[in-house]
Amino acid sequence: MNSLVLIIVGMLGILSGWFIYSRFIAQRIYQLDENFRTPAHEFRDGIDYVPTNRYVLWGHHFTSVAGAAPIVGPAIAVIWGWGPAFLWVVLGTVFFAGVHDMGALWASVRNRGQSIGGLSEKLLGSRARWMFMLIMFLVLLMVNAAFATVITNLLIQFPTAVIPVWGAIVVAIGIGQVLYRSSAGLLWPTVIGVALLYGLILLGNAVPVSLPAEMFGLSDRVIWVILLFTYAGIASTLPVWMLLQPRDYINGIQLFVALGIIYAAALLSAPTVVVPFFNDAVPEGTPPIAPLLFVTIACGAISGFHGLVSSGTSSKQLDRETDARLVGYGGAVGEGMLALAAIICATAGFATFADWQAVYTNFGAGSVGAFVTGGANIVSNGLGVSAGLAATILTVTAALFAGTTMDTGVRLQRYVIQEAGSITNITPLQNGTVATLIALAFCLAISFGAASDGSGGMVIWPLFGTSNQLLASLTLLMVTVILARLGRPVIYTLVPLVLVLSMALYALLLQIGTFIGAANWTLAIMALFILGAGIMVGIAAVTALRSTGFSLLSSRSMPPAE
Amino acid sequence: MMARRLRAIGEGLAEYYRAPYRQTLAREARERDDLFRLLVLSEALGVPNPAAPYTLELMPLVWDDFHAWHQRMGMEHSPLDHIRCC
Amino acid sequence: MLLNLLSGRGLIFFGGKGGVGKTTVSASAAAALARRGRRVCLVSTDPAHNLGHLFEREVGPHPVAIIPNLTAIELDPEASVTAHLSEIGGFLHQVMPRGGRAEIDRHLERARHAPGMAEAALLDRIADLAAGIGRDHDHLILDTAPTGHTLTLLALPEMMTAWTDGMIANRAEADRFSARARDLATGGASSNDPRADAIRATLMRRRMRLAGLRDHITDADRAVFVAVTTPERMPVQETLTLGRALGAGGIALGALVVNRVHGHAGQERTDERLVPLDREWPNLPRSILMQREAEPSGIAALEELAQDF
Repeated sequence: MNSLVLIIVGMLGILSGWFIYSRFIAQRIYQLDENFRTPAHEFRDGIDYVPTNRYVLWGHHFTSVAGAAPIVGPAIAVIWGWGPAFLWVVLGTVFFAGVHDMGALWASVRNRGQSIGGLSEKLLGSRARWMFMLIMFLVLLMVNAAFATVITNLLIQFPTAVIPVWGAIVVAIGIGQVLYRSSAGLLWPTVIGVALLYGLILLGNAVPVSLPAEMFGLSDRVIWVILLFTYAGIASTLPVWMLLQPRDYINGIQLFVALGIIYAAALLSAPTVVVPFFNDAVPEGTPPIAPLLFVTIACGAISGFHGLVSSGTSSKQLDRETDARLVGYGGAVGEGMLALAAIICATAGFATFADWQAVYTNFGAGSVGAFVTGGANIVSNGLGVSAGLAATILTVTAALFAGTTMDTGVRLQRYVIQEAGSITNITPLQNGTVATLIALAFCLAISFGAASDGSGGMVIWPLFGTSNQLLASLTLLMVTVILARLGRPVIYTLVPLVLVLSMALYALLLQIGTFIGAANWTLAIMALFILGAGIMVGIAAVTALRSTGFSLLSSRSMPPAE
Repeated sequence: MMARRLRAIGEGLAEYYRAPYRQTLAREARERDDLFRLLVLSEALGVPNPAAPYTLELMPLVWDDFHAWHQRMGMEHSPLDHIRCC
Repeated sequence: MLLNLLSGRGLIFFGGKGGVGKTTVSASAAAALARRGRRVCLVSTDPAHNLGHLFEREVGPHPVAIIPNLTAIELDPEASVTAHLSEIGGFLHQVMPRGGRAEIDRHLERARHAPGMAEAALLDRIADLAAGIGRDHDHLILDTAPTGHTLTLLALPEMMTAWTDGMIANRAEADRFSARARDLATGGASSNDPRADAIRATLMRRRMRLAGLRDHITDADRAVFVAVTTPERMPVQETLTLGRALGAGGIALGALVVNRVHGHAGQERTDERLVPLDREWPNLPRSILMQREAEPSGIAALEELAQDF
């Protein structure tokens, strides 16, 4: 089948979600009010609270939520055939992610721009706050371990990307310094920075770098993982303006460039999808599609991480409440498109089904590597760039996303540890360096505890998706409770909540069985922790909702509460 | 008409790229301002300060932002019991 | 010999244990220098003032002419603090709503008793007077308070320079970040923040003053510290302490005056008492003042005493 069909059907589905369903949700359920005084106006301070043009805000929201995750998940999940991944991405974006992201934004706007963490304490009590912190810590932990593996795989599979991936850090620091020391404005530093980055890509393409297979008795894989965490540890303690901000900035440019390149190439070359709709011949050991599909693709279908960005960041900049539709739902749409691009690259970028099967030899094997290989073929056919150079560009893009997420992730983990330290009055935990080292120790323990060669990241990918879905459930729960208290119909958030939560719990039980069967105690214990948190979310959901006397479909008139 | 629209789009794009960076730098500046204000007001907040005589002469200069500052620091009302601002 | 040394230095400190005759010695040096045609300003920072008794006339916080070329001041920390506070109060009154004025006054009243307040105010006045050397007078002679107070006072410029440097560094960073943030504003460069400028100007002024005074005090070509002692165990011990503490702060003792030495009979005993000082500072210029029948009082007696210098 031609990939153009996928693109057209997928876009039609997502766009009708945007034009029809999102309008219905915004007007009837959340009842977004153009005249509501948003926190951006109420607490305007020019820094956190800034009324921002909605298109600009959408762009920032989108680049904050889109990273390597909506590429990795779909690229793994196509192992069950293109159909399930495609349907879950399209339907998930329309009925789950959009509603969730817009809901988080709305809930936060109506509560002075508070974050989901703060809201959870207010709506569900202080235990929910702890639960939230625990889940968030686990999500960060797993995303760091997973992305270390992702980048390592990429660097080993595509040695041409080594120079640009590490060189990009130097370029970012350079841009940061130029902007700090001179009043140059953004234009010239950007032009020179991007030119340098692409210069490095050309250089890397000509000069591939591989680590020796063994050094100091450690495999190249182990060394890359250790190097990456060393980087993340150092980067997370640097001031934001020095490295993270310029990196985010480059990534923001890179994201649109890469999306444009892939879609342009796919439209021009119209490659054939070689993978069947439903793959009956999955490799030995592939877990069952239900429920694993729903946790393998989190970002791109529904992701709790978006709730963190929606609440607490974007919510403080919303000019009018009605903009929540474009920013929240529109952000989810953008990410759905990215996931769709990943599906196309990983299914239509191969010459034959046999070629594809040679890559997808077991669950988790395809991943970003398949995205890059497939994407490079498409770009090379569509735009006439050499496949090697196209692969380098896509690898650099994916690795930059993953790398930035890692240093942000370690930074956030440090904050969580420091906060826990101040709540429990354990002074050493409040020290920045100590907290960073603890965060890194956890990450390394997971990376090497899950698999001794440091490839633990891919093993825990579904577990990451699971905790991400729990986070999404928690957000959906809070939006549902708010709706119920307002006497509005809750079915539009409750159904996604129930589905996502039950799939996450089901997937957890299966995974715990697998981990125990394989005697992988690190992951088994962690999965049990997540299960505990998940059950608590479920109990909180039932108790919180029972007290509201909610109605599924109809609106009720409510006495003015609170 | 067309030219004006193009220029507007160009400005929007420029703003899109500048805004987060500006925000980051402004936040860094504000963090230092907050620290400065804390040092200037520390004596008044009950923290012994060897430079009290000199911070006193800086007080008028940090005064205008005092209300926003104590709210940012998580104090709902003025922490100086003998000086009210809200 | 001592007078020659002193006439080459603008800023002259006299210090030592209470009761060794600092005031008498410094007043006599001041009178002698004035007699040589130098314009001298003699200042007492000792809260227990007795310049007035010595000169047999009223001396206060403003310069009083004693003889041609010699003026005297008794600095009152209390009054200096009041002046300092009322200046700040004026600022605060301007920026605060009318209703809050009583509260500001109460706040300032509490600040009056903050530790270091009196020293800071005193230092401010000294800095002013020191800045007048070469313009208003050739010599500023300070009759300091007992050792403890003096050391605190002299350590203050160093300490506070470090403090202002820290604050200025903070401002430089904050201003730089704000400026860069402004460079990235769409509407082109906006003008500087007047408040940031005012803060920086205030800090710089403070730093100039403090660092200027510190540099002046520690510059052996422009300032000299004269220790006054008597040939007794306790004052000698205290002189040792004082000299060492000053040395640690970068101020070297410039001369030693041994006051109230008893005739020839006590000479040996005096030398014996001064051994610790000889050992510590073997080359320190020293003047011996013999015990007078009565404590000198009045200009004539002071000038007579100075002949022994």
